[in-house]
Amino acid sequence: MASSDILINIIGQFQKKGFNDADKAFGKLEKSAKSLGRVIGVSLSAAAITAYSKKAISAANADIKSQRLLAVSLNNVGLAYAKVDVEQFIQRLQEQTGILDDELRPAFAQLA
Amino acid sequence: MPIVVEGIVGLRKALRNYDTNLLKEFDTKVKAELKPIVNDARSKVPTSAPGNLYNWTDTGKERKSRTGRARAFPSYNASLIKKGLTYSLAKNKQDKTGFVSMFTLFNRSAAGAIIETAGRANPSGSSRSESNNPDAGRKFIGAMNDIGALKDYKGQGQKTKGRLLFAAYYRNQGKALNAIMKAIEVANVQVGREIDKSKKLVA
Repeated sequence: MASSDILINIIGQFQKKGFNDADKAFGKLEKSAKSLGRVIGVSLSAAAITAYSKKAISAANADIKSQRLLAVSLNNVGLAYAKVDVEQFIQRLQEQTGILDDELRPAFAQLA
Repeated sequence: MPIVVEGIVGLRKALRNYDTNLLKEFDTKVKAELKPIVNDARSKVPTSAPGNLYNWTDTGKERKSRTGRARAFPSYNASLIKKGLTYSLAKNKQDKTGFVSMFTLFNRSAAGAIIETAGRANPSGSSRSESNNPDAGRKFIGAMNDIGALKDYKGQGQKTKGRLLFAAYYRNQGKALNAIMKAIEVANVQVGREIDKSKKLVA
């Protein structure tokens, strides 16, 4: 195949064999691509993985933020000792109701 | 970059190893999707040089480059251009970024490539043109536009714009891709069944 060929590659696959440059380029991204590929069968493009990672990171950040807010609220009302019990209660409530803990924590903080 | 399907190379190998009929069935499905795109592109190739550019027509004589290049400007030969519009199911050589491609559509002829891409970078002709006629580029691109406008099949700008193959793939609207993905899924299930069968035989 001449390099000047006009072509459309429809489907492809990343092959690691005999290849070093992409390792540098992809880094950890490649590992996530492989693990994701195992789960869903079809691996995602780098852009899709980046979007997925961004969403996951922002979700984790929201989780940490709500945990901190609840801890501060409990401290303020002198219930710092109950943090662990409250977290367990919120986790159970999340599983039972299907309402995310990010929403339950601020509600509990208001209640406290 | 193509749509990445992890394990597609291995899937074809597995199909071949377990049952060649499965591979044939899979290839037939893929071919059935790629052929209409190629046929559509071929149908847009005019029998004579577009825009009445009669000096471009292939007279059978070998042309010499006016600008000292090793290769002269290619002649217009409709049958050669149509022949160059084709597809392949074979695995391509690994590219610089580590990807191998399968299921490729080609526009292989030089004249076909010119029709495909003329005016992508400079829609009114290049300012670096070596022609004696300063308006030659604009007129040539205008003649190419008689075949059809440049269509961007991927929405990625200049490099994914074309008149023949790219435009045909653009008109296909991803139907071929969807059908191929479905065929891959079916083949994947079939290979899984074959593996289970052979496991039971061993047990």
